[in-house]
Amino acid sequence: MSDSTRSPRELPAIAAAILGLLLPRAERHEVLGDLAAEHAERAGRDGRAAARLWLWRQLLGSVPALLRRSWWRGWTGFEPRASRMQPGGPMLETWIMDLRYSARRLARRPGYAAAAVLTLALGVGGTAAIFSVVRVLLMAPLPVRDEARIGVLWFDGSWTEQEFVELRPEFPGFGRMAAYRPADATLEVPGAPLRLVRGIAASAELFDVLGAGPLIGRTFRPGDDLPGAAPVAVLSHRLWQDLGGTSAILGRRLQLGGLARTVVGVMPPGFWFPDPTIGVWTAVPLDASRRAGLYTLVGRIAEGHRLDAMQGPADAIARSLGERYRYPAQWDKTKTPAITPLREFLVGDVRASLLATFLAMALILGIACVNLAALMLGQVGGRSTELSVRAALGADRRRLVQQITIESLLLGALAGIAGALLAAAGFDLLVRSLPLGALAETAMLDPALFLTACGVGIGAALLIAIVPAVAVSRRSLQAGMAEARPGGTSVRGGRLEGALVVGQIALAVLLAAGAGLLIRSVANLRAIDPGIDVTHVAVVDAAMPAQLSHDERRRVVLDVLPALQALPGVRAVAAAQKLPLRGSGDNWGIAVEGKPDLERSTTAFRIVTHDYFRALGASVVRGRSFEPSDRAATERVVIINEALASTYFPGEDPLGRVLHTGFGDRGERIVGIVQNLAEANLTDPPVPARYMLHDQVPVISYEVSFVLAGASPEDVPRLLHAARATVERETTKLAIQSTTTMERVFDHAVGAPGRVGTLLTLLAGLALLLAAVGVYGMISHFVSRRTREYGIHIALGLRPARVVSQVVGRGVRLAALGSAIGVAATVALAGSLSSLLYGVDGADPAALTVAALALVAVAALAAFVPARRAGRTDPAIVLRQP
Amino acid sequence: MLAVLRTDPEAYGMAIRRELERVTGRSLAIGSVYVTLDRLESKGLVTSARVRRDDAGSRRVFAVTTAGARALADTRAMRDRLWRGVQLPSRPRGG
Repeated sequence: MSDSTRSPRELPAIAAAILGLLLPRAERHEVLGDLAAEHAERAGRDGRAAARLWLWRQLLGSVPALLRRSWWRGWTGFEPRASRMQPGGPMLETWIMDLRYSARRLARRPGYAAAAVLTLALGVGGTAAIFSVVRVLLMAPLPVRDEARIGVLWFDGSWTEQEFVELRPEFPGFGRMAAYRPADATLEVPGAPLRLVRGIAASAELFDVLGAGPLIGRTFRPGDDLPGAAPVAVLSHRLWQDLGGTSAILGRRLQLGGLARTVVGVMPPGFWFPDPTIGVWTAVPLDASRRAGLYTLVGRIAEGHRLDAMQGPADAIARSLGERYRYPAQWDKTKTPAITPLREFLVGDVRASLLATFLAMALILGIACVNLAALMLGQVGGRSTELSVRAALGADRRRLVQQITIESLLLGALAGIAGALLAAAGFDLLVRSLPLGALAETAMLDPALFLTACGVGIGAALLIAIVPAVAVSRRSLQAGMAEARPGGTSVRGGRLEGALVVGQIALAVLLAAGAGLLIRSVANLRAIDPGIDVTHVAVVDAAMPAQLSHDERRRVVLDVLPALQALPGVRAVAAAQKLPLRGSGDNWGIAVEGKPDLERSTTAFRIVTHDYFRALGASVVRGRSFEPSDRAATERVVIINEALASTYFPGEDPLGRVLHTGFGDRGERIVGIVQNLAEANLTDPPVPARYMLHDQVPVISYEVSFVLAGASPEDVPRLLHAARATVERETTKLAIQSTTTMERVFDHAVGAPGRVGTLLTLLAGLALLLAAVGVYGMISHFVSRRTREYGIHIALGLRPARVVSQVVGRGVRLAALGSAIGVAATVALAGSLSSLLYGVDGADPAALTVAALALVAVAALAAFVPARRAGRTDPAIVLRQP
Repeated sequence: MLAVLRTDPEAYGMAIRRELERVTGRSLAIGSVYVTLDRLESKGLVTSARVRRDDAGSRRVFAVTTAGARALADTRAMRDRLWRGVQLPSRPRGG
């Protein structure tokens, strides 16, 4: 067969390479040679093209079969007799062998395998879940065109229609500017209960500024916001789906806020602005004479300008405002002009919380990785005999490293799958426990999460494999054999393992200290007295069609109260247009009779019913509360808070004085002073506030909150249910927006630190546990390798207690070093938490000390268990071992 | 296995493939031949040995084992028994 001696190089290089990859070394040369020979023969007989065609057919037909063979050989370990003197299959085959070997090793120690997979899965799942939220909110583009060219003007939510209309033709630096304000509206659909739809009222430019087009129909046109224009509405995709989801919606008139509005367009799915709960955008008729400050101004910047260099145009706008208007000091819009990038404006509030949680999850992942690396390193140590024998029999180091990497990858893949399942199961819980507010709606479980989890798992596995792989490739084979020889007392110092424990403790301290800082912040926040009783009060938020006249709105509210009061277990019932702890807003101008020089200013203004203070458990400190005798026809009365008294009547007695809001010439007489309630945010200093009766105020908001005080905190949940049913039974003019408790309102006011703090505390607990497992594993491995040494020491007279303290001391020393590094890292990284901290410094000694001590204590405890085992070493048994 | 016997003593992968192609008239990929031979060897029906050649390298040459021969004989006997008494219709039905 002289033709078979031709070199395989005569085959096309690609074909030779593919077959070379898939054939065992022993058969490679022979098969390639034979193929080349037949190829050449056919080329001579049938022509080159036919020969090539034949060759490729052979190749394509062989690849699946050879892959199957590699898998089968790897899995069964089959090695033909003929290959005995020339072993070594294709790479795939050795991978599969190693995979099988790893699977067998893991199956033999299910405890180790489960612990390894679970710890890694927690880190992987948590990181993947939070990453998918971070990706959507902080990394994915916003649903607008070219977001880097959209900016929001300072004093958001405080611009007036007058300011907007007058400046509209020329906003320096901006191509277009739009004004919008929240405008939730009741939606009346025949045959369905009245429902409240979150909405935005905007000027006609809004969608042009955002650069967002409709799915069907159109968005706003110039002129839609002129007084007298036909009222139009654009629906969100979700609301459209709720209403049937057909194109027949275009041109349909919807009763929104009591007004028939023509639907002109539907936005595409995925569009949201300014948050994902908004269901409808309406064009608002702008009136240049209206001076209520409710609007936010958002603009697309003009060509030639850049968002990060907008201070000049902002100052120009401020100057222009200063020329036109005079502002009270409190509301001076000319003072701090600034343009906020749209992304910062929309998601800036949640960034710190998200990043802190992301960091915490990544730390857990890091700790789990280090833990697993230490575990695997211990395994490598424990297998030193096996590895040395394998190496002595000819296994090269690359192969040993490959085996470790495959084992690690197997763990990583399992952890990735388990992590993805964990992430999917806990995703809603995680999203709900993050302080995302309305943005939570954008966080959705998607397939990318599973890919992320698996990717993170595999990445972590590769990282983990580095440590033991380095250990294997560094160790000298002779030393390995020497160690393996029974009786040797010299063992390596385990410095690598020590370093891993130090790293792990440092990460855990970082996490525990972060949690500690947040716990202290939350404690500080919770210690603030909001001035009301938060435990006994149920809250029902509702809205009326905006088209109802103020008298009708008043009647709706006052008519429902008696039915609520009659519910069993209700101590007091009241209604208000805005409750404490729900942020600032609803500030109305104030004038004091007899003080004409007072600068024009505003204070918080609350319209309430008679029993308001009793229902909230707030005490009237001087004068009287509202009384049944205060009616529409009687003298207008007002109750002020202590802050208003001290601001406007320093050193005077405000009782009996008269304030003017603009409800008539006579003004309102001050009849009482109530303690300061947290009328703005929990952490704000007391703001001046005044309270008037529904009966005596001509203007009634279409939004109303009912508060029901129960006799005991246990009554509250039942009250919520009963109140909702009662309102729905009593009137069709109220759409219930939500039912909640004052306690939840308070929790919400505590806000991001509370929620992130809870999450971080849980994660810190997990980190402590993982760190304990790590220290325990490391020390017990350390001890088991030195049993003989301890036996000899004890035989020579060392007291067992000394052995115990030596071993524990080693654990504590490592933990102390790790803690020191962790504390330093915390101080360095505390900046990222600063926006979540309240009343506590990033370098708070208490939080840092507690975290460091906790870790050292946990490490000492974890080290004690194996240390005691070392102390109990019986020299007689150890020394008798061969 | 029959192909191994037919090509003996030159029963190496490519020769077996050629023999099978020649007899069956169907083209066969070399990969599938090796997979089958591996399986047969793992079952102990054939065995392989590396035979040095004068010109270059070596070849994995297959031979049928005693167990393999017995299996072949059994299969043949079984088939013969099954054929016994079978009368094929003179014209295929539905043809």
